[in-house]
Amino acid sequence: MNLKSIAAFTCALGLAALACMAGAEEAAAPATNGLSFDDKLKACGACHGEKGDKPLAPDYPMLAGQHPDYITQALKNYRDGRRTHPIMSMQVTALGLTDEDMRKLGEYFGAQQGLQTLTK
Amino acid sequence: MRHRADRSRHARASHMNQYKAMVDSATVAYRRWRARRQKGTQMKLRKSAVLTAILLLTAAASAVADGDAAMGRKKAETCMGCHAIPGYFNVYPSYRVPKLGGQAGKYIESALKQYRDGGRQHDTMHANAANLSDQDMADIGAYIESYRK
Repeated sequence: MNLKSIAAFTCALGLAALACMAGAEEAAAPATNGLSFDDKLKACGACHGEKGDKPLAPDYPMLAGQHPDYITQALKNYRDGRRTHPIMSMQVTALGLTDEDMRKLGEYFGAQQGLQTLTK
Repeated sequence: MRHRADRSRHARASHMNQYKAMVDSATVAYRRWRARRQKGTQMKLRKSAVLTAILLLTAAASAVADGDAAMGRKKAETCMGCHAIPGYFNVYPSYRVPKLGGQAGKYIESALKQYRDGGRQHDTMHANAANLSDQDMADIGAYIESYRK
């Protein structure tokens, strides 16, 4: 663990705590934990870069330009436990991402300039 | 006179006792200090042994050299079967396989290790990752990241 990823982890913990607090205040909307889509988008950007093109740590993935449906699938996999990561598994729950959020996050990051298909 | 001599003898004896008590307590203190110091030295030795072990383990863990993009290009031949076809679909569930060109090399390494070890579940990727060494993964990561330049 380098300093950056520790910082990111602390950051993520803080965000999770915020998300939980917000969720407790607005029990009426438990599915989204009281966070707006913009809040959720900012939470992703905190580690992956605002446009998903500047990951905070060397082992964090770039999201910019990724296929939207792949990003959505990755988030669902975290939620369902088919994919695990100390930060991401927690974030998906803490942010209360709905299927609709996952689709919109995929579309937002997929629309940015970045990743490309490998060439033979 | 005798009385005075007795008194002075008594005083001397009393001084001697005080002196002995001082020496005794000093000796006890010294012994305790020496024991602590020996223990400290042992602790220091133990600490340095632990540090050495950690260093050796770290060295062993980082025995994998930094990824070599040129080697990675050759080793990534299998990857191309799916990841070099624009819009290629994963069959079930249905979604496009990820674009990898320009992805972070270290992320690719950790993803492959997770596929190998079960942190990520995908049958085809597990089968592919199971055949790769840690060095292969580092090389493939370096090749994939080289698309950024």
